[in-house]
Amino acid sequence: MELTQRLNVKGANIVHDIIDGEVVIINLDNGNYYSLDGAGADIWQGITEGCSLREITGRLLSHYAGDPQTIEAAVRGLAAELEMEALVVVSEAPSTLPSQRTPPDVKTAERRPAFHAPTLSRYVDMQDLLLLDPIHDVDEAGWPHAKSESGDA
Amino acid sequence: MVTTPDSFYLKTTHRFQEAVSRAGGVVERWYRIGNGVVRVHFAGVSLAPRLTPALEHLRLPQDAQAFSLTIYAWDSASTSTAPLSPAWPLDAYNARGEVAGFNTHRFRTAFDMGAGVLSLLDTQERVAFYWAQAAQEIPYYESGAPFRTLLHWWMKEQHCQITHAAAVGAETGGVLLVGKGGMGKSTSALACLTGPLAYAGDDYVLVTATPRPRVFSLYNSVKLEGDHLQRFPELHAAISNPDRRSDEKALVFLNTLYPHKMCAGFPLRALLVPRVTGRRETTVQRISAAAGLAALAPSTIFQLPGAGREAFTLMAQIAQQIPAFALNLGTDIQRIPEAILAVLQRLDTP
Repeated sequence: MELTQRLNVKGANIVHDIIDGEVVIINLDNGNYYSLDGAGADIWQGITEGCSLREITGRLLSHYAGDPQTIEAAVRGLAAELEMEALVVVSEAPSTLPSQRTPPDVKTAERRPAFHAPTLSRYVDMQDLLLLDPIHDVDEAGWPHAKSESGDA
Repeated sequence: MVTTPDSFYLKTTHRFQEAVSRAGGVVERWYRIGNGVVRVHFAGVSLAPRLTPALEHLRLPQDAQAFSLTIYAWDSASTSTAPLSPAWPLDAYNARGEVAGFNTHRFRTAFDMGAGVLSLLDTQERVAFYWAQAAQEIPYYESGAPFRTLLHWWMKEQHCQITHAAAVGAETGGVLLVGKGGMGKSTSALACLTGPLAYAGDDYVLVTATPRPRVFSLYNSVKLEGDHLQRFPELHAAISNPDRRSDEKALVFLNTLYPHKMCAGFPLRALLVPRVTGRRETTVQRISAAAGLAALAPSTIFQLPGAGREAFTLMAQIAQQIPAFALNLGTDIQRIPEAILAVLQRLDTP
């Protein structure tokens, strides 16, 4: 993925929020949900504010103590993972204005916390609540019946 | 002729009227649900006993006050009426039973393929329909959480959200116990039945985020598995489905045993995420708001047709306003209420 690219959250069925520096993301289509913290949450925030991957890398360099190559690779890596999980798509829209973004949390070099590569935590334990292949039988009136008792979670 | 939501709604209305006529009248019930009043008309006498016990603690005198929603409910078998037929193809259902093309700004339509129940809401006229083939075939879990889909849609209009959670507390404040099934929500809530904390719900409750987080009781039912039956033997006498299949849970309406413990609701002070530890003592530790939201939101959203961004936003607002704790459940379940009370007392301390 090119550093000049920007990403968009992929459609209305990806719901997400940032609370106290942590991100929760839910894919309404398949039941998967995710969490990000630390630099991962910063990267997600940059994505949702329309920053390019280069701009996100710059933000992280001004906030964390870390090797530029390491941080750049981490941004690329998480972006690719988010795309693979179908949570984001490469944006074709023009860049947002800096005034629409959260000002970067610039720290002086001695106050920057150590950079830790972000981890996208992925949870799939809700998939059994969704009837992804639901129809088992159809009665005489035309109503379908599920393979399992869907209502007893 | 193409069937539209309007014409299907009209056909449903006529079929309910026919059911009332054939059954010889209606059974009427009124309930206080959240901040509103819901009136239910059952065609005939067969369906009400299957659907009303879980709401009995919220029942109001008939004609007591203005109502905000009317639900018309019937089954075809006991009213000797022809079954409704779907007006859409088999590929119109999504994973949560919503019907494509029949969920508009005005109408909501879903078919629960497990329970065999059609839910239809007209938000403009504030009228809903609930239909099943046969009252006797309604599964136990539907009896435990009747009208769940309709109430979910309707309460969303009132800025309330049905939530997959248990709730215990006092009038001054309480906790929401959240997490997926099997994590200890029911055990925690049932352990409080004999202590000082009141009970607002075990499986589904109503929550609102504004002006402050608050929970409202919805159902007084609890579904019991094998270990629950061993831990709470006092509930055995009230099992409503003693002839259940081996793969079904026992259903108990707590209002029959503990009417004095039922609580209409309270302000929410904390989210608790139970975890079974295997240790003897129950302990509590602070967790992040995001961890609380991750325990609360997915298991709610994926059980309710049409739940999505709005539901997530409301639950995120709650998670932002109250602290979240892990409730590490010990094997001595008598100590669980003490741990919950300690959380509430700690939050009361300036």
